[in-house]
Amino acid sequence: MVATIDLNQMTPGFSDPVFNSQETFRAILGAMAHPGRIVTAGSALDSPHPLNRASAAVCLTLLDFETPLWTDLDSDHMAIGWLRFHCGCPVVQNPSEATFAMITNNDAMPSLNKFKTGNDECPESSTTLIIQTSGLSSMDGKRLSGPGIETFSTLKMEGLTERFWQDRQIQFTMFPLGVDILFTCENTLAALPRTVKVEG
Amino acid sequence: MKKQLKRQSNTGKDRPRIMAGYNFAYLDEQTKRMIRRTILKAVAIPGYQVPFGSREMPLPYGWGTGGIQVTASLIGPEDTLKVIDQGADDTTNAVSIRRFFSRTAGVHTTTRTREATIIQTRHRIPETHLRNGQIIVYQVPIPEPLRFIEPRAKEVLRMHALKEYGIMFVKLYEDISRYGRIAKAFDYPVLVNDRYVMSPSPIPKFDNPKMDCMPALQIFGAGREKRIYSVPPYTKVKSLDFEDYPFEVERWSRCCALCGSDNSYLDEIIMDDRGSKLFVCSDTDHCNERVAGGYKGNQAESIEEAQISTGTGARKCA
Repeated sequence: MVATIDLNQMTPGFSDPVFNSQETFRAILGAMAHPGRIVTAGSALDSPHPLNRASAAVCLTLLDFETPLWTDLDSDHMAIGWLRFHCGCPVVQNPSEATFAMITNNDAMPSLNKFKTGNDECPESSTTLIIQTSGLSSMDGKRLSGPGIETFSTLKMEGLTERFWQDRQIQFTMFPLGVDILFTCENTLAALPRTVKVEG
Repeated sequence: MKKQLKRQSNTGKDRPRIMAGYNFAYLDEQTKRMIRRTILKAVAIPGYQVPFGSREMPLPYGWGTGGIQVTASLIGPEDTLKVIDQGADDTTNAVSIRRFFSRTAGVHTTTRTREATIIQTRHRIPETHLRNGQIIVYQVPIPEPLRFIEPRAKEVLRMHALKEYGIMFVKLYEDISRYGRIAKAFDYPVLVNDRYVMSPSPIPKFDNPKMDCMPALQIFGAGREKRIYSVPPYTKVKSLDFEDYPFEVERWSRCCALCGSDNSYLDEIIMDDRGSKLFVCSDTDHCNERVAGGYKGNQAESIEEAQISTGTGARKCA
């Protein structure tokens, strides 16, 4: 049963879908090609609670009818209505069916191996995770190295559990399989593709 | 000089007019989203060829349909686009693609490598070092490096999955046993990030070392073959070789006849029917910049005279 969408509560998406999504994509690409680099996205958006502006901008830019979304929000949540209305994406119940996953509550997040990690012949058929964090900073934190990073970069992502980092460590050894992650906070985001080694 | 190199402002009335009736940069938004998702996967798995739903473009396969689709998904109003074909900015393919984006996206185009934010290329990497923040988009005819060794696509997929590249080394070894050296001069296979063997597209092997730890993002688009792949900045790219037969690039015994450069890739130009030849830089922007900076090759004067007497200003018409 698909819940009805209340249009009176609906906040708008991009004011200019063509240029705003182009700009957001280049920000995401910049983050993905330079793991640890913090970029801004969706500054002008009025995103539905609990999605932050960057998460909302990523969804508006990358999601459509071809990309099943899994999220930890209740199925009748206002934010899901917003995503279904603006992106037209199917919302799935099982993380292993999702092309994208939106995680708003990191404590209750499923283990990383519950998501699609691809297979040896098609490592690209994996889930991209959008994880909302309470803080992103490059001042200190984890030490990242790998493709896209000249020597090393540092990134601090607040509010992630120890179990998450253990899962990530296991997935790193499975390369080229694994999930790619976008961390978001307010109107900023940073990426952690599967290639990157995380220490500390 | 410095003033000229300053990036043009892309705002205001000097921006080219966008043709009516098309979406920005020609492709529809759903196609762009699909290609953008593919590009992100390609960046996350360096050297792996990600399949995508390649669209028909208003030019035939083989003319850069893959590169154009990648560029169309990347480009925004603030970008400055450079397009080269075999190093030159003034060949048909390069001129047409530049005009295509100037008409459908209204973006500024340039021939200067330093000014460009996106460089779409066929068969060369510019001599000027690319910087971090620039994106180089390669047009790729055949993305699969193992295609001519193992024609079964299913089998090739398996070989990539298992990192089973022995057959590629056998191919290179056969060259050595037959010719005494690795004879491949372009599209020379590379190993990306110690994992995937990748075709660098038909660039001369002279350009292969530029790919290693390049500060710019490299994206490869193959339209007919429906594949996109990528090398992120600062990523290890190693040309395949043997300890006793190390990878080597071409060298010339001459310098560029126009700018005197002794370290750029040279094109051989036949001058007349008596067999006289001229060697000039393949990268026209690099050559022009050196000439403007006062560098001269041994034939610069005679060519200038020839151009004046025949009334042509074009550099490669000689």
